[in-house]
Amino acid sequence: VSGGWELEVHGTEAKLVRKIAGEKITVTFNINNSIPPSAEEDTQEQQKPDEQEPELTSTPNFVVEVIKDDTKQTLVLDCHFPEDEIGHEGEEESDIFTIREVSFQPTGEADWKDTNYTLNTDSLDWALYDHLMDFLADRGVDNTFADELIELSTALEHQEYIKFLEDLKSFVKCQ
Amino acid sequence: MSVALRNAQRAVPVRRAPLRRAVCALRAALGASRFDVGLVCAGNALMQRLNGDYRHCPEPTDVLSFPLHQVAAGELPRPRCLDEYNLGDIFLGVEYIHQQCRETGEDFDDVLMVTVAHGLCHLLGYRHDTKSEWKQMYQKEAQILEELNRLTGSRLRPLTANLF
Repeated sequence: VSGGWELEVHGTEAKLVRKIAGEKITVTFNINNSIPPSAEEDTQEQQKPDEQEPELTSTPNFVVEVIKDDTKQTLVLDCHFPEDEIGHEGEEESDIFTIREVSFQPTGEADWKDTNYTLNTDSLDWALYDHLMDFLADRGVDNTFADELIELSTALEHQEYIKFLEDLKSFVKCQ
Repeated sequence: MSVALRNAQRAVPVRRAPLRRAVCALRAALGASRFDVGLVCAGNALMQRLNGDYRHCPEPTDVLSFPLHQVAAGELPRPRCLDEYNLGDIFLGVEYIHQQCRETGEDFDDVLMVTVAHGLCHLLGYRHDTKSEWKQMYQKEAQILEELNRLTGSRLRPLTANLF
């Protein structure tokens, strides 16, 4: 992923980390259940014997955390890729990704605090929503980043899938 | 009423908040604040498809406007129900505009605002097929851009300044 992100992978969870003036930005996603069901169904219904299978794309939800050096609070933004509700033509007229929820969480604590207020953007003022999107873009989380995240996630998912098949083969052969 | 803004392209960085502010200010200057409007920031591929589908001109362009109402220039729509409080959609060819600005040296953000003003005027029936239509549209663009200039300190001029 361009933009100076460092990648850490632990099983199915990937984390991209970037440091800019006084801030640490992390983007975390999990490749499990990251391929939309409609994509998988289309593949099975439309495949003809002589045609190559269309590629499956992984579009995981991803969580952006912004940690400022001088605060004990982390701003957490839960982001989603839109689901294929309208069809491919409608997709290209939509935002590439959306922010669904925003919350402050204590920095350094692994557990999510349910008692911290979580803002759902469904009912958020659109001007404020745009400011949040610009906030993310200023930190490198923009449409280009989102595209590259999809590429990375798809590659990781494929890698895990192949490994799973190999493990399954070995397991079945064991007596 | 609302401005539904979407950034459906990844070719050019676009700042959403200033764009929204400009659309709101220009819409207010047109006296159409009570109407919704949609704005999609589009790449060349989408603009080319739409331009081909609706204008039989399959190539990228800077702006395409899809008005919900057919009105004469200078008139506001007369909605019959809540759903009709909508001016329509503007597709802003940001990738095309960015490429043009690189060639001409113009400021990308300025040209975006001016193009939005142009698109909004099209949603309200203004055209530039004849000289008299152009003059009417030019005057309206100049008027609303003057309002935006007053608010932002910019010095924007209409997109169609040199058309005739």
